[in-house]
Amino acid sequence: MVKVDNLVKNYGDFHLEVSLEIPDGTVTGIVGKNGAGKSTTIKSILGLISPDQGSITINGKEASQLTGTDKASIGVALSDSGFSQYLRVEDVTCILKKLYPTFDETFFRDNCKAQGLPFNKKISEFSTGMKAKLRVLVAMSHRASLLIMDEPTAGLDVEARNDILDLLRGYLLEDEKRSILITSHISSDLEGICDDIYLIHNGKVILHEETDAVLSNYALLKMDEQAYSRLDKSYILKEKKDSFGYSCFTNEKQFYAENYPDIVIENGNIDDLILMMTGGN
Amino acid sequence: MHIILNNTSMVPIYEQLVNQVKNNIISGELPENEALPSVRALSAELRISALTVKKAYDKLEEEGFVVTVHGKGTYVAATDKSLAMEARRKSVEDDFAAAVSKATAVGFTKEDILEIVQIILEEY
Amino acid sequence: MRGLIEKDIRLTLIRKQTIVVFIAMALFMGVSMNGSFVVAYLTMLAMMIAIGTLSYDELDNGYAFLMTLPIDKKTYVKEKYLFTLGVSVIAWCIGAVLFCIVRVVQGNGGTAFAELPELMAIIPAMYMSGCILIPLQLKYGAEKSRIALFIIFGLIAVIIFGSTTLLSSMNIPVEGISASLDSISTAVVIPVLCALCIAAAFVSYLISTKIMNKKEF
Repeated sequence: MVKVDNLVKNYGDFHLEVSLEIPDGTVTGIVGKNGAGKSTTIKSILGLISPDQGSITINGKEASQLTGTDKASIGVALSDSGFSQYLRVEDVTCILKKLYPTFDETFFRDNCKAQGLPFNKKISEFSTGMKAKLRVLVAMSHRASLLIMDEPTAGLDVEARNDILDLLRGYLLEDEKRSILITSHISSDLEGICDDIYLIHNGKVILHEETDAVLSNYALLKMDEQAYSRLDKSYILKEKKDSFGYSCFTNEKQFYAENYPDIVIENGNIDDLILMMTGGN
Repeated sequence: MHIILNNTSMVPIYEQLVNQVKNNIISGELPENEALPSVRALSAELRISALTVKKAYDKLEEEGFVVTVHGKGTYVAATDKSLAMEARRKSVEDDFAAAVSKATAVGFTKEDILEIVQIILEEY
Repeated sequence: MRGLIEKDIRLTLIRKQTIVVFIAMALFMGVSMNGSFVVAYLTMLAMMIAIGTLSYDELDNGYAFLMTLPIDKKTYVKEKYLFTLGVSVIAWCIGAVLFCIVRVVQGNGGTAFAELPELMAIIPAMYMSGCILIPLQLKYGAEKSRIALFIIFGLIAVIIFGSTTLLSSMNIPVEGISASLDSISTAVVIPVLCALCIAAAFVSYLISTKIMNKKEF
């Protein structure tokens, strides 16, 4: 269980202020545009940067006070950092074996093979997709109960992204208590795996909702000016003027579907959520 | 068990899941005492969040179609098939009733409604 | 700790060819120069390579990931000091063996063994410069620390030059002091050097941990 309570971090003009919670056995996603504060949040949880205010606890322990043993139960994949690229997968295997008492060598070797990662090539010669897969496999290699993944699918094609998500799903399958915290700006990746979504914008959590609720209750309503003027706007979160009239974003799809059969209703997804909630009025 | 989810449908994913599992049970494809896939397994297979699957299983349990044995899994409950069938008939009747009341609200006559039903049946 | 050592050994072995070339050059120098310079030369190079693992860690923002491994910052720093010491000692041994072989081949093996204890002074002397380098590199990174190092050595040179001129201007015989330093026996010099070195290493380690604790990744 990870608990972030009123975390505050200032970088010049940028002001981050978030609270969030990752219960055991759940997959939590953080979405937001680039520079919204996703990575800063993750880095604070990992104790890589020290917050100006607030508290972060992992299984009841302050993030900054985590010992080596505590950290052994967390698996981490960062988007812009990893083992030295001069090393080979073979080297990484031997290093992990000595770092983690719970390192599962068979799992790691089998999965590297299955993903087509050569053991005797320098990581610097790997493709972007191969590097990303290696980072994820390294994080999963020691049976951690919590995985923290910062943009594990960034810059990858659809196939590589699916491979990585399938790896994560397989990981969850092995033990019900495992949790994942994952950030991404590719929201379709998160729709299929996260239980819980946090939307961060300009350093603030502007929405926290179960994925299921986003997909079933949120919707994009499209209508002309006339329909718009008649619309009951009680459940409209955001609206935007378009060439054809108005786009409105609601979290009460059913209400509008029943009462306004003549307007166009599109199922909401996380992309709409980001676009409407961080833009619009 | 066959489950096909439609992401563009207006019916929420968890409801689609509930309905399809129910169909599988009523048709006998999922026999009594058969274990349903675990929440994580089904969520991985269908690529939807585990919470959605859990919600669907909870709903199914509430309606008496399945039982969850804590720590073991979810199993198809011993249901009375005819009762289940009856429940489904009832829900279809409700849908008709709702459609009729909506139709009368916008001024359809009895003849209009019958005619529409005729047309739909012919096309079906 | 074991994992970090494993990593540094593997990072060092990336430079296999360089190491072989260095040893070959050392052998060549040993033959041609006939002196104990080989031992000092190899020890110094080894230490530079060991400290060089810091640059590998730093490259491509690598620290962020390293700090998510099951180690704390203190362990990371400690390992660097131990690793540098270990590598320096190993290199010194290789140098010493080369030195002895060369002397034996030249037919005066006896002198080599007599000189060995004196050569042991190289390790603490070199390690002390390592103790300056490690915190510098942690603080300023690979690029800037080189500049910082030049400045520090420049300052030391200025201080030494300044103090000798000062001493001679005050009519204190510098030659006399250095001569009397030379006459101190090895048995005294080495323990004193070692003690100095341990003190330096300890202070340097404390500074390094402080630098590391302040760092954000």
